[in-house]
Amino acid sequence: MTNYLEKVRETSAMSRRNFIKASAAATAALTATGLTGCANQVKTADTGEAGPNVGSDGRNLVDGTWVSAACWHNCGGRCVNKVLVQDGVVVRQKTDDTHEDSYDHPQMRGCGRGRSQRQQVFSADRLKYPMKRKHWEPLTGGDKSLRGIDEWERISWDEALTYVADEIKHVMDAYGPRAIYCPGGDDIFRTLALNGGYTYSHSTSSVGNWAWLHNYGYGFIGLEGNDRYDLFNSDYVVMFGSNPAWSSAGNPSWFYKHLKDAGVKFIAIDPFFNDSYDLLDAEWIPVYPGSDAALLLGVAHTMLAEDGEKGLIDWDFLHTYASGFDAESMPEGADPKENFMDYVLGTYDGVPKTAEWATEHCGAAPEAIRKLAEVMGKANNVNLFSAFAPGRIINAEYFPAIFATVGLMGGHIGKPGNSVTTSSNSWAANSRTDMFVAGQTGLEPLPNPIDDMINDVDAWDAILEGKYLHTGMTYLFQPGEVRDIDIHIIYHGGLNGGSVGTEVCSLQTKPNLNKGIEVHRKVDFVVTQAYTYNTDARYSDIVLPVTTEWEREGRLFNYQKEAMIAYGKVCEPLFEAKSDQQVARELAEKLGLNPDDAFPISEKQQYFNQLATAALLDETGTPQPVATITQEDIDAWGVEGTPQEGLIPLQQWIDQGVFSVPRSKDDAYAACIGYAAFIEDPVANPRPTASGKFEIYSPTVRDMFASTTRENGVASATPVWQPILDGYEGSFANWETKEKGPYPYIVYNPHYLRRSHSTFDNVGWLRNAWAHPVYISAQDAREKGIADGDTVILWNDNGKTLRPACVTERLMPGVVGLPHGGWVDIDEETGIDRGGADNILCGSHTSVSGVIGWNSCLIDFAKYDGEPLMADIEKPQTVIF
Amino acid sequence: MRQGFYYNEENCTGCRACQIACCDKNDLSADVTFRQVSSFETGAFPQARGFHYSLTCNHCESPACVEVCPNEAMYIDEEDGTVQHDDSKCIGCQYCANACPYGVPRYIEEISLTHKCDGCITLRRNGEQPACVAICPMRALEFGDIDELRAAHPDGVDKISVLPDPSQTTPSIVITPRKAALENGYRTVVL
Amino acid sequence: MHNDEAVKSLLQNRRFLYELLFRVFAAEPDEALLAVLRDDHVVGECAYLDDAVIEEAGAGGDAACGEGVAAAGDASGDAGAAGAACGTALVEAARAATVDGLRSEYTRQFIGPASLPAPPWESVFRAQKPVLFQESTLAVRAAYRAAGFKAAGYPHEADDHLATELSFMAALAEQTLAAAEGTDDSDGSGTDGTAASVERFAVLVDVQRRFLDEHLLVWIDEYAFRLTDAAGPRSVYAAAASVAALVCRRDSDLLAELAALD
Repeated sequence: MTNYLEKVRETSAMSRRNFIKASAAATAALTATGLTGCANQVKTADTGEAGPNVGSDGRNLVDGTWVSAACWHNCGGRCVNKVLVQDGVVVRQKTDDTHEDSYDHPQMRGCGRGRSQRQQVFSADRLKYPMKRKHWEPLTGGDKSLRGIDEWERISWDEALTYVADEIKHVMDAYGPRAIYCPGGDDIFRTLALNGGYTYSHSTSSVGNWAWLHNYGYGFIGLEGNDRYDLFNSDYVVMFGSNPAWSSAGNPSWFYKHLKDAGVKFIAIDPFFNDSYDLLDAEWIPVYPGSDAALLLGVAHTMLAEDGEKGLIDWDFLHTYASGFDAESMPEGADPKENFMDYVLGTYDGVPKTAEWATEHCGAAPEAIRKLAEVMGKANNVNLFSAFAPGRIINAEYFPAIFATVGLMGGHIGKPGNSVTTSSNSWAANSRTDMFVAGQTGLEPLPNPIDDMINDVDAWDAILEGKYLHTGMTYLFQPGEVRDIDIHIIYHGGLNGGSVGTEVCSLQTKPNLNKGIEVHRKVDFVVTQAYTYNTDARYSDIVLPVTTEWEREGRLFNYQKEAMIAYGKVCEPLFEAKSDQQVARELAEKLGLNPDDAFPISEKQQYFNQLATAALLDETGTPQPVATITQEDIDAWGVEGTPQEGLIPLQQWIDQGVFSVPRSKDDAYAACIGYAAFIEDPVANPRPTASGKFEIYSPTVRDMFASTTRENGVASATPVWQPILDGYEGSFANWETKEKGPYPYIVYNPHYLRRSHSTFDNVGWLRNAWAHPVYISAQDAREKGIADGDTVILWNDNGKTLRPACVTERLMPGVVGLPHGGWVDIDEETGIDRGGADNILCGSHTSVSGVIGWNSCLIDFAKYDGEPLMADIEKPQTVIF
Repeated sequence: MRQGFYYNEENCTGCRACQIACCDKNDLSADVTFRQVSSFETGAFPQARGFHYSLTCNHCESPACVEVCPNEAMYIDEEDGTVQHDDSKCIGCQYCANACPYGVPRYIEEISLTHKCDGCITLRRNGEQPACVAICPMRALEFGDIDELRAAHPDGVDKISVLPDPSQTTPSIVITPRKAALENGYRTVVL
Repeated sequence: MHNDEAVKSLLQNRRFLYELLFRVFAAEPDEALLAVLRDDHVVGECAYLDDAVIEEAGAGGDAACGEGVAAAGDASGDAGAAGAACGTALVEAARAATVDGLRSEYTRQFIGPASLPAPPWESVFRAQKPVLFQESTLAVRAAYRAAGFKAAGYPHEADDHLATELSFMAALAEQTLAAAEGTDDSDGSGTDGTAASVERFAVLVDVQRRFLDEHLLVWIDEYAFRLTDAAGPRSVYAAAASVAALVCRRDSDLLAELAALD
């Protein structure tokens, strides 16, 4: 027991009185100094009721409001997540429980990342206030070498936006709009467009070389696939580079498992026997990253060689539906010698692409190749699937076309149980014949008056060297033209919203991070809109805190095939965060523009418009509005609109968070088979090509690639094999003698379930669940004396990075797996990245098509003799506990 | 009566959604788990296979934690058929954590108490499934009367290579195992 | 109590300390605040509950303030000069600092944009995770509301910032002093009723004690430790956090004494 009272009573009355007087005066002086506007104090308020009752363990997990909360990440899922909110605090989450779960009507369940979102949204690490770099100076950039390592100062929004506007105005005056590089940010794009424009970025990004098959040449357009019910008609699913268990988290693996249980056989072509393949008992054909084209050519050759005996090739199919397979089906005016078949047979180049030839380039055993050839024969119903990953490789230009051609050889298109398509994102195992029509915000497009756009693969070089090759937008190829470019501002503009919602963190996710940092220290001004101190923010002069999707009015996602997710507002903007759109509006005003010209309608109206215009394509293909909207709804929202009849009352949809459609194997959607109309009647329903058929031989593609004038790789109308730039062939100093070069191992970058690209990397639960090691084959580990858990250093000419080793027997020797998306964390003393960032090792080169690629990089690695790496879960800056 | 989990190990891809869902519902700090997924490999390249195990409280019939608890903080909730923990009686001695053959109870230093899976009893009383069951994208978890679960999965087992001898505590668990999980010579992999 | 100057001096002392500490943690410092921190008066206030006589304020120990705090121990054994030690450490740190340097340090420790090494919100320590707006935040919000306050930043800024919680204590300390002086008119009756004041006094003592025991004292020691670890013991903020931890602990004991008064 203390006796403060007694101690004080023992002092003299006089000294007590003097103390009181001095203390009171000092207190008065303190309270006189202003802290008005400071949030970190209390103020008087009405005495209110207590909050929700607490449970016996002190927690109340039951009361509150369930709100559908966006899972806006670019993992390809965007599933249902709901949060229990008590006065702006989320106490727990749940996923779809709006109906009983069944294969016919599955719940749109999310994954551990979505379940971790409240850690992310309410992270103590949220960017809370606008800030500027301490040693930044307006218009000159101050000491630019300190970007990334400087101190910071808090500023007001008014100051921040005035600075940003002044920088933009200055650069516009001195250099014009082309000098502003803005690689992402749908909302800020509109303001910058209104202001005169900006230089944009483009790339093949996720799809890599699939862009050519998806978009033009070849005649496939969209790579249509079949509905998930149809897959039960298959004998085989042949999968290239796929890992839905990690990369399409949610329902796809569950759908595939149903196929397996029904007797469908899986074959996996991949360097790693991953958990998806294990689940499906797949037969594994290990191949080097980027060597899939070689494997497929070996398959094609085998099919040709054994066709006489086994009847593997559907010649009628090939001649009816495709041009360019053999000499007789080459298009008018083409050199008949350039047909695919003779290329495979080696008739003119003297290199028959036999299974043995393929083996030398891909690492798969010849027997495996021959067996696969038999599987691909016309007698079987085959789904030939690939993820985007094997196409997202430099010099893999023709892999997608070769893939499709092998599919055509067996007649595996347009018939039940057969398809040739990419299988990734939420449409893995359930190919994307849309069942919904996306809702529209009502914002009219605001085109960029500037047509400069730099391929991401060139971006850093362009900014350093002052010129770039312009080829237009990735999917709308234009003849290549070298242009001067002089970038003075980099504006990282936040979320690309729309119906899919994509966070862009350019510096982190573009190849050659070290060069990117150099670029960021060169330009006059760098500004970032972000909600967390991501890599872009780190290397900026000014950071603007923005809201996450949980703090915005709401949005519709149109990413799942069978469900449309409406999410709403969970809580008020944290601290001083503003929505990306609010920032864009206010910046417009600072630039002397009318913000209503950029955004004529409010965010609330935009959301309402989306809800009002979203439609389900019913079984007759007729759009049916989803939402039933009453005048009361319109009045309650305070928006403009007209009442309409739909399938679900508006408020119920929002409360439920998801509108999903029960399926059955007999419904009209199940009959959706890719290219069925063309296969049924190729004359009435031609492909959009000159011949009206699939074009294996594509002069369009050849001319497109030739026009880029890029040096690496060939521009060819015939789909041909070329060695991957940084692949198996490149690992040798001498191919003939198989003497290895300085970088003997190939690193590829599997998508990792700890993150969605680079998002979620700083969430403790996820770091605990997923350690982000580097995958090393047991054989290579033995040779290098590396034990499981050892810190390993990986390096090449582009950089060095550290990770703990995961030694596994399920990875083929010669290949190293470095999970994609780890946040860079460079030790300024050693220059070594401690974060395992994939882009530290990836170089910024490309090939004829201008594809941006990862998944094949040559490195060496060794046990690290420096200080062992601290586990990510223990890293002090993000986790203290 | 006991309630427990059915775990379809064949379906489990080791995605750890269950682990995270449990962290969320229990509001755990980063280094504490009440449900922990581990991954393993058997065999050699190119025939190596993997399997996972999602470990949590088995709500055993003869729970070691209840037996050793000096203060009846760990107890069997006869009505619910699960093993529960009473914070007010817990003295943080960690006997339970040491006694459990499965290593399930977790001592939480900051509060000097040991906690574990409570079968999401609050959620179930509210008409919901346990958080792990509700999230599993592979539908690999079920919770309920263990006798009913055993009847529904007659080929299920309560022992795989990585688990201790079930005769110690008679765990309320039924597993559809992966073949690899019944073999010897497994290695842990930290994926 | 109305005329008990000993009590009033204690109430005035805690009024000053909470007001000072809240302002130190609330925002980036200015010259005026730094001037206050450099003044010996602060040592006297910190030392008021020490064994040391008031006039000998400034008789600091050799121990760094953090160690002083540790040595202060629990209610039954208060190291005699802990207040003076902590207060001296704070004043000396303030004298060694510049406004510019201190503003930078405040930014690093309290604002960002990088992760804060010692995030100054109760929820972070309760949840043992770097998260805001948690269930514990609701409890703090409810405590404010029951006493007729709310966080100025509600609903955007987390209610359980160290400064906000200290500001709550400062506001209640002011009300407690007013109640003790019998001039408190919180019932709005227009008269300074002694009986009402006595009752109000008792209620306020109880509210403050519970807030300390259920909130501030649950995390402030660990917070002070983390901040000292991150910022170094010679940092003004580390020193202020040590003072805050000591003040809170002692105040809980003092409030227990006041509660026992007739």
